[in-house]
Amino acid sequence: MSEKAFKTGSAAPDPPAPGVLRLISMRFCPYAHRTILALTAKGIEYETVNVCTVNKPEWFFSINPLAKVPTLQHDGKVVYESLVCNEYVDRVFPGRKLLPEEPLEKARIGMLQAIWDAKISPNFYKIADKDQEGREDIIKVFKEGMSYLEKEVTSKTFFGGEEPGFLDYSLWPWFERLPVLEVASGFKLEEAEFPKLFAWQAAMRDRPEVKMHAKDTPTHLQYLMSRKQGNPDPDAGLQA
Amino acid sequence: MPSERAMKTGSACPPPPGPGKLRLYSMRFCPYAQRTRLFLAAKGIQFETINVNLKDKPDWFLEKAPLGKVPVLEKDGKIVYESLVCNEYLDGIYPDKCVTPSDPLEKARQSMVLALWDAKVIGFYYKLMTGKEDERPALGKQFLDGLQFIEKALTQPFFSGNKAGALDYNLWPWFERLCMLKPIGVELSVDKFPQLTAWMERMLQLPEVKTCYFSPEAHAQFGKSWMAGSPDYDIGLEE
Repeated sequence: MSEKAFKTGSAAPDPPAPGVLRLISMRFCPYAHRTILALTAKGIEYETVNVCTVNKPEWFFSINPLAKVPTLQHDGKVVYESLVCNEYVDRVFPGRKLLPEEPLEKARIGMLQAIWDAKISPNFYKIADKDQEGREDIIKVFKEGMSYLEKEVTSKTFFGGEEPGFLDYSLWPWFERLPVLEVASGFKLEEAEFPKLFAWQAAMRDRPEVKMHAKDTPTHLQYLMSRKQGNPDPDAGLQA
Repeated sequence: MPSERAMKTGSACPPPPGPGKLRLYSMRFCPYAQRTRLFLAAKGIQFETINVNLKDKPDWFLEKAPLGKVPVLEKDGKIVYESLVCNEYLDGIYPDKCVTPSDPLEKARQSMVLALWDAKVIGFYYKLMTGKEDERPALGKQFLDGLQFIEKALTQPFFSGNKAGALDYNLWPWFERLCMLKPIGVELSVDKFPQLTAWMERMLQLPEVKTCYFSPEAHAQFGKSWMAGSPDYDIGLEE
């Protein structure tokens, strides 16, 4: 199946064959990246249909009314929202369990995710813009959020323990894109301030499921620039 | 019995709840906290409440819950915040009378309906309350169009099936407050929202909903005070 993204005006692809898990995705979307990591970590077989998330194909809305990636299709079932997808595949498919059973451990993941959603992800790309209004304060809040994560990484290598778990895969996509902030605006986190997060990043980068899907900083930047210029190119980096 | 009056900046940190005791930090009119109060009532869990002034938050509250929002649960030194996280946590530590669906696809379905709610409805709800008069017709239409997604998701007596469950409680607080939109011309008609209007009648009969209920007058009074910039968290409490 071609990796090229379906755009507005495209014909709908045939539905997935019986028993086949299909992921509707976009190669640069960090939310879809979460689900790609979870599927790969669990060794789940799936096929990918890429879409342009700016110029969305009309057929996508009849599958998911929000027309957002990631969206999973499986024997007539549709699941969307990255963390909902990840929890669903974790429970329904075999393979290493990514979510803990213990209620407080599970709750901790939800709380850290809430801190991330409040302090880090809305500010992520604002930091890339050197002319962003209030950038100093935004950076302060961003680092505050990171310090909560720094506190959470304990004696174990990953948030999930000896191996990455749900939270590791939920957060990783933005850490892969952190170098983009440095190239675009000079911003970076200091290892001296976040030693455990740096160690965690190194450990994550070494994981096969992370390496398999990693894109380098120039490619990430290429996509971001194409979006900024009003001509998003979800196929950036693909062979013609 | 501790006072229900909202604790504010400068107040002394209350001592932790006794061993094995569950405490909820809340605000009487907060819809997110009401989600958790509904779960607690539905599950028949004993708990104590400390209400917090969300405009002038006590420092001790921000130390417990860095995002400074309610609901927050505290039990045996453990703190949990975020309404949906609290609700699942309650089902985890009090496993009988489980409210969260056990089937993974049904759980996913309920989460997706909440995502539709967040994307298509709730933003317009607040914009309608705080927006200008000339913006209201357009906002009202967007709100009602968005609500059709929720109407279509309701195919049984309750969102969760024959009985109320997680999604019913997680959505209910905003339907209890719909009366606040009536004065600005936004109402659910039976012909456009046959499922939702019937569901609202069913929900109002449930004991757990009645336990957590505030009247349209109380909601309107709180809403008015909130919009005026001086929220009165203690409306209805004896002096």
